[in-house]
Amino acid sequence: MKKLLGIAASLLCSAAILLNPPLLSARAEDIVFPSGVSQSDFEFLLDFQENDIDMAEKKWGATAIGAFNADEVLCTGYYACTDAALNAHTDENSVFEWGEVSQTLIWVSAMQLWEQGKLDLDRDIRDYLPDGFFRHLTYDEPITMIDLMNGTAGWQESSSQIWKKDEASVMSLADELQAAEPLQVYRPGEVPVGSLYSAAVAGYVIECAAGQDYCGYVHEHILEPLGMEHTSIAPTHSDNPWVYEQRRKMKTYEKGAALTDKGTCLNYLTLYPAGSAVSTLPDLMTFSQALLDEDSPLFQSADTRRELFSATSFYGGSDIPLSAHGLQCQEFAVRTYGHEGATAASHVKMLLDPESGLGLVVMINQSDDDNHYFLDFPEWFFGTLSSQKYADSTSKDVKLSRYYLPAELPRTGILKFITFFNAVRVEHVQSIGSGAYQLIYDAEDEYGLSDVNKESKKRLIKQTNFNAVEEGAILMGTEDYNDGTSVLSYAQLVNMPAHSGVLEPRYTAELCLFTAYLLLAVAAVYLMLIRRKLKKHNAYSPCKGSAIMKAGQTAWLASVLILLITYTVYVSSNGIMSSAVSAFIGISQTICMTVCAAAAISALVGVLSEKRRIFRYITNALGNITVIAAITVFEMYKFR
Amino acid sequence: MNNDRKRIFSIMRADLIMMNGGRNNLKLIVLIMCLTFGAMTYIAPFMAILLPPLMSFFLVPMLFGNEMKYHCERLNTVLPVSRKDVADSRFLLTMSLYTGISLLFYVFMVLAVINQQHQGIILFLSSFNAPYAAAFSAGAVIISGKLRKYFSNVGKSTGEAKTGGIRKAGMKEYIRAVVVSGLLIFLFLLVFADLLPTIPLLEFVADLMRILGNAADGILLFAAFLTIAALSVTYRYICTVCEYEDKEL
Repeated sequence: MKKLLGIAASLLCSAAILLNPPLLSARAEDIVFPSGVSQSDFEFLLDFQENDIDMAEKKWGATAIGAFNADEVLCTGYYACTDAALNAHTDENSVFEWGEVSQTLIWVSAMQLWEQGKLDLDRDIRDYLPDGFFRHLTYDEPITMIDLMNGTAGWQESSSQIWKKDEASVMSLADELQAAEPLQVYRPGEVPVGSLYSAAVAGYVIECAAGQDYCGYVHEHILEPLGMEHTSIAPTHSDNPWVYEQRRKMKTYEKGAALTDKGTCLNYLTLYPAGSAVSTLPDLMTFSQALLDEDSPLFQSADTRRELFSATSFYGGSDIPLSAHGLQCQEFAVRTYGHEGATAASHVKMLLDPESGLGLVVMINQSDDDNHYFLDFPEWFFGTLSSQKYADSTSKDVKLSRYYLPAELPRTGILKFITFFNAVRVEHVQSIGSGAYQLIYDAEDEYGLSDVNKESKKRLIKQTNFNAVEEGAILMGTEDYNDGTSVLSYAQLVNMPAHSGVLEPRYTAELCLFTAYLLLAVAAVYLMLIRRKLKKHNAYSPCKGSAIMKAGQTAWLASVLILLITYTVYVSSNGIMSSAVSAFIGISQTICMTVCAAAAISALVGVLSEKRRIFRYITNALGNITVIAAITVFEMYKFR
Repeated sequence: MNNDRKRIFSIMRADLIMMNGGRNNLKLIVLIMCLTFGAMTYIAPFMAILLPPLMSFFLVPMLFGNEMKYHCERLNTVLPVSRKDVADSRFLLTMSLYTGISLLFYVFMVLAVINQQHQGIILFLSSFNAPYAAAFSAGAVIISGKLRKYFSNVGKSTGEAKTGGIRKAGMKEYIRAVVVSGLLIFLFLLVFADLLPTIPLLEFVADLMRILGNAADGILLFAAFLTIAALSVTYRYICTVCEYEDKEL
C-alpha cells in the first residue's frame, strides 16, 4: 500500500511538471535564491525529491535541510528515518554530528578573543601555550593563529588513535594533543592541510588565551547567548544530557546497492574542538544565522564579523579566496563561506553567502555522502560557477602535466606509500591568471537530481528558472615557494571544498622504483619455484654465496608481504595505526633491509671474485639494491 | 652462428614446414584471423585486445597438431638433436609467432586509435596500452602452459591425438578461450570501474593497477604485466625442459 502511495505521489508530481507549469509559479513574497530558483520552487524541489524517489527512508539516512537568512528560516525539510527499524522519522529533534563544521566554533571564539585584545592572530601560538608543549617540531618558524585557520601549520594528520570507543579513556585536551602530536612535515605558512590536530591546537590556544576550558568557553560565549540548547561540543556529549540521549538513539546508514544500518557509530574524538559538536538542524541554523547577521550577537563590533569573512588565503596568487579566517570558501554562482564536515556517522554542510545574506545547511546521518539533498541542493540554492566568471581575453588553455600528492595524507613514515596511491595529476586546465586555473566541465551533465532522468531534469531547470550555464568550472591554484615546495589547491569534484596537493617532481621515478620493488617479490616466488624444480630433477647447482642470496630473495618477498599487512591495517582501521603495530612493521622492514644489504654485498663479492655466472650475481645485487632503495625512499622502516 | 643455434633454427624450419601440411593450413588460418580481427580492430580498437588470449588457445594445437595426430614426435628421438634443443626451438617458435602477430595487432590498434582521434572521437591510447599488455601477458602464460602440457603428453596416446587433432578439440578450446577472455576483460573492467568489493588486498591491487595505468600513459603497467608474464613463461620453460629430459620415450 505504502509503495502504491509512493508511486501515485511520484506520478502526480511528474504529471504536475509535465502538464501544469503554473503549479511552480512563484508566490508574490517569494525570495529568489542566487541560483535563480524562487523559494516556493525550492520547496517544491525538496518535496519532489522525496516523492519522486520511491520511499525516501529506503534510500537515505536521516536528512535535514534548511534555508534561511539572518532574520528568518525560509524553509526546512526533514526526510527519512533516524532509526528505520523503529520507524522513527527525522524531525527538528534529530541530532547530527557536525564533523569539521565544529571548527567554525573555534574560529568564532578566536575572533571574539581577538576583538577583546586577548589573542593576536599573527603572534606565535607558543606564546600562549605552556613551555615546551610541542616536542616534534621540525621548523623554527613561528606558527600563528592565522596558520591554524588556514591549516598551514605544517603538521601532517595524526595517525594516532584520536577516535576512541570508550568514554572513560578520553583524557584532557592538552594531554590528548601531546599524545597525538604528528610530525611537522611542511614549513609553516605554506601547505594547507585540513588537519584535525591543527584545529584542535587552535581550540587549546583559545583555552589558554581565555583562561577557561574550551568547552566552557564555547557554551558561555556562543551557545548560551544564541540559545542553542540542543548542541553539545564535549567529546562524549556529557555537556548536554538531552543531546547525550538523542545521539544514542540515532542510527547511521550507508547507501550502497541497498541502505545498510551501521548502528550508532559512536566514536569519541579526543581532539574534540576539531569535530565533536552534535546538534539539531535548528541549532546549526541559529548559529549560521548569527554569522549572517550584520549585528551579530556573537561579536561586539560589526567590524569583527566583516574581518571574519575577509580572505586569509587564495587560489595561487589571485584574489579568489580559498579560506577566510578558518571558513572555507566555495564558489557557486556566488561565493559562499562555511564548512563541510564528516564523521563515521554524519555528513554536514554549512554554506553562507554574506552578500545576499542567505544560507543553507544540510545534515545527513550517513557514513557516505551519497545523498541528493547533500550533493545537489547547494547548487539548486547557490547556482553554478560559470566558466565565464573568472575568464577574460587573456585566459588560455595550458597543460600542466604534474603530479601532486594529497597534503592530507602521510608525507613521511611507514604510510608514505599510501600517499603515492592517491596522487593527483593535473593536465588540461585554463589559466585565469596569477597562478589560478579552472577546469571546465559540461554543466548539463553535472546538474543535480541524478535519480531523475535527463529530460525531467531539463524541465525542472526550465520551470524553476534555474540559471543554467553551459560550462561550469572548478577552480584550482598553484603557488611556488622559495624552498622548492609547490602547492596545488583543487576541488576533487564539482561543488566540493578545495584540498591541497604538494608537487612531487620525482613521482614517475619513484613509482618505477615501487613497481620494481613489487615485481621483485613476484620474481622471488618464481625463483623459489624454479630452484625447487631444478632440485627435484637434480639439475640445481648452487653457486658461491647462494645461501645468503636466497635469504635476500626471501627478504624481497617478506618486505612486500609486510607492506600488504601495513595497507590492510591502514584500510581496516581508517588510517589509524597503533605504535605497537608501527614498531612491528618498521622493525620487520629494517630486518628485511639488513638481509638485503648482506645479500647485495655477497652478490657484489661474487661479481668481483667469480668468473662464471656473473649475470646471476649482477641481477641479485641489483635486486637487493632496488629493495633497499624502495624501503629507504618510501620510509617503510620509519616508525614513531 | 654456432651449432646450437643452427640446430634450433633447423628444427623451427622443419616445424614450419610440418604445420602447413595435412589439414592444417597455417598460412590460411593466420590470414583469415588477421583479416577478420584487422577489420574488427579498425571499427573498434578495443577488439584487438581479444586477439592475444584467443590466439593463445589455438596456437599450440595449430602448430603441433599434425605431430600429435601422426605421432611423429618420436622422430625427434632418432635425430641428432638434444631434447633441450627441441623444447628450446618450440618455445622460441611459438613465442616468436605469438609476439609477432600480437605486435602487428598492437600497431593496428594504435593506427585505429589515431584514425578515430582524427575523426574527432575522444580516445586515449593510454586506455588501450595496459589492457593490451594484460591480454598479451595472459596469452603468453597460457601458451607456455600449453607447451608444457604438450611436452608432458609427448609419447602418450592422447585423446586429442586419437580423435584427429585440432578440429574436434577446437570447439572446446574455442569456448574455453571465449570464457577466459570474457572473464579477464570483465575483471579488468571491474577493477577500473572501482566495483570490486572492498577487501584490502583487492583494493591494494586495484589501486596499484590504477596508478600504474595512469602514470606515463600506462607504460608502467604495461611493463609490470610483461615482467610477470616473462617470469611465468621462464618458469614453465624450465619445468618443461626438466620434465622432458627426464621422460621415458
